[in-house]
Amino acid sequence: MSDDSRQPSRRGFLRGALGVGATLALGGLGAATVGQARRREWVWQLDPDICIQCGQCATECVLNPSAVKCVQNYEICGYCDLCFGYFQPGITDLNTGAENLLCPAGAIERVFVEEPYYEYNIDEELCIGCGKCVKPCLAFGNGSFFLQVRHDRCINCNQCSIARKCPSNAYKRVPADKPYLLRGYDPDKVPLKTRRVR
Amino acid sequence: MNHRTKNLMLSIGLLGGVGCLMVWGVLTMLRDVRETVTKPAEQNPYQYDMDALRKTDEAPQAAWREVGAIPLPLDHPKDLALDASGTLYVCGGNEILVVKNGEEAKRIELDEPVRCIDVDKDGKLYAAFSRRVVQLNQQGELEAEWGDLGELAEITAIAAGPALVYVADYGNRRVWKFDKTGQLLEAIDGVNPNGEEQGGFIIPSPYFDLTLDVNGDGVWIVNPGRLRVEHYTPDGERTGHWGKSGWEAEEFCGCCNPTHIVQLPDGSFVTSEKGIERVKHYSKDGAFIGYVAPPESFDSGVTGLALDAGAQGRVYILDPSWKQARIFEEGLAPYID
Ligand code: SF4
Ligand code: SF4
Ligand code: SF4
Repeated sequence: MSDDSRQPSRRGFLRGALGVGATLALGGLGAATVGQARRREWVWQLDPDICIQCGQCATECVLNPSAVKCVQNYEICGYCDLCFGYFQPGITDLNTGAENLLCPAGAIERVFVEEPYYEYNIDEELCIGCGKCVKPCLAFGNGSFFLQVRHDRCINCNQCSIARKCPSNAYKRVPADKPYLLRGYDPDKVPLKTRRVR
Repeated sequence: MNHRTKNLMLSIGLLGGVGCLMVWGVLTMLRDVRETVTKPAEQNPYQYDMDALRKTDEAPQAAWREVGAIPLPLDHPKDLALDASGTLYVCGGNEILVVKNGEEAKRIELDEPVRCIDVDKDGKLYAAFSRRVVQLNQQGELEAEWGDLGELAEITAIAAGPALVYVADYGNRRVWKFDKTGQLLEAIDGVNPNGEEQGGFIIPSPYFDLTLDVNGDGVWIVNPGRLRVEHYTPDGERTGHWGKSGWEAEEFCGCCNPTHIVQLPDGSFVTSEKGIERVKHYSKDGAFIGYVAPPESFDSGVTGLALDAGAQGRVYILDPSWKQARIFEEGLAPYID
């Protein structure tokens, strides 16, 4: 990543008391460019709580690469040293050689913040929306990685071709001025109110 | 061609067109159905194989068996505790359910969601909300409210000993130590004064548990981001730790595990994990003994398997997915279907 402005400031990500979704930093997703879609009333979106990461978001979109991307909710990320969405299962040493990385497109960037915390960023130019990183992040981490139709790319087909194939019926029409669906917060879990460290 | 013939041909043409469109529609639908049916999720080239991680075949033969279960009709059951007589207390929502001899004996209503509970040797109940602790008598009457731990506090575990009460606060990333009157004495932040490891307690997800040392020597605190269990004296000095990160059955897998821990009367430990949902038994030195409950005992994806142990060493596992307190006992022949 050449753009230094994307380097997390040590204290920036360490500050606490954030409202759910208030500062969702999904690569600008909170203030996304909805493009053509904004002029229409409804756009397609997938519900990340229903998605089972079947892989078809990568293969069934009319666009290539898909308009579906993995997004990162920095508010709930654990900033883990061993990120299960980043590393292949079974590795014993956290070496960032390509053979140790989970993402088939090399779209996840790992940035050291401070011992022992790392930030994980998605390069949407590379991400193919396969969801491979989403499942282990949800199982082992906090589920901060999840898939979303990115509306600066989606051409808002009358009938989304992924929606037709989605085995879990995760796709729905949502209002164009609220085009993203956050992963729900599990009421069984303690709400995440603070960042990693202060 | 007369007018009638023209109309007839036009109608036939129109009908033919509509028919063709219908046939095309039906064929497209059939193709979609066929493609959907013939493209099951198993063929996903981007599949992440969780089941491969859940394998238990190389683990030692389990010596534990499930011997019973108590239904927990509560919203979002979160924590459980047993008193010396075997009475079970379970919190969920704003309530604490009291279970005696397997039957619901009482419900205690509180003002806020209860995050965790413990009961001391005298039968006094300690319930933690997100930022403060309340003390209740055996009838469930409020006896004392302790001070607020501040805006960032998120209490996840509480352990009440004979003289001290330890409160794990994942928001502030420390364990608070109180006396039994609710006087805050000091905090354990897990930072090693020798400085060879920085960071103190690393808590990537909201699971931060502890258990009293059964010999009265301080407290065992999970440092989940380091995938280990650390021992602290009552003065807050770290004297040792056990547990390591890895993919084998004896190791802790994930970014942050174990989520819960309890020490049994014989000094051995029982831990629960998320990601690979399992409950394991370790010796008092932290050597892996075997599974109490392997991953196949739980619904995939369940988290929050809180633990407590009865005086006889039976382990009670809170299963939020089944809404049960599941009871496991050691030393019985493995269950065979
Ligand atoms: S097609 Fe549906 S289930 Fe499959 S990855 Fe996309 S949203 Fe998830
Ligand atoms: S694993 Fe798949 S979904 Fe995740 S970042 Fe890489 S390409 Fe995108
Ligand atoms: S609406 Fe069209 S472009 Fe958008 S995600 Fe669906 S198939 Fe892709």
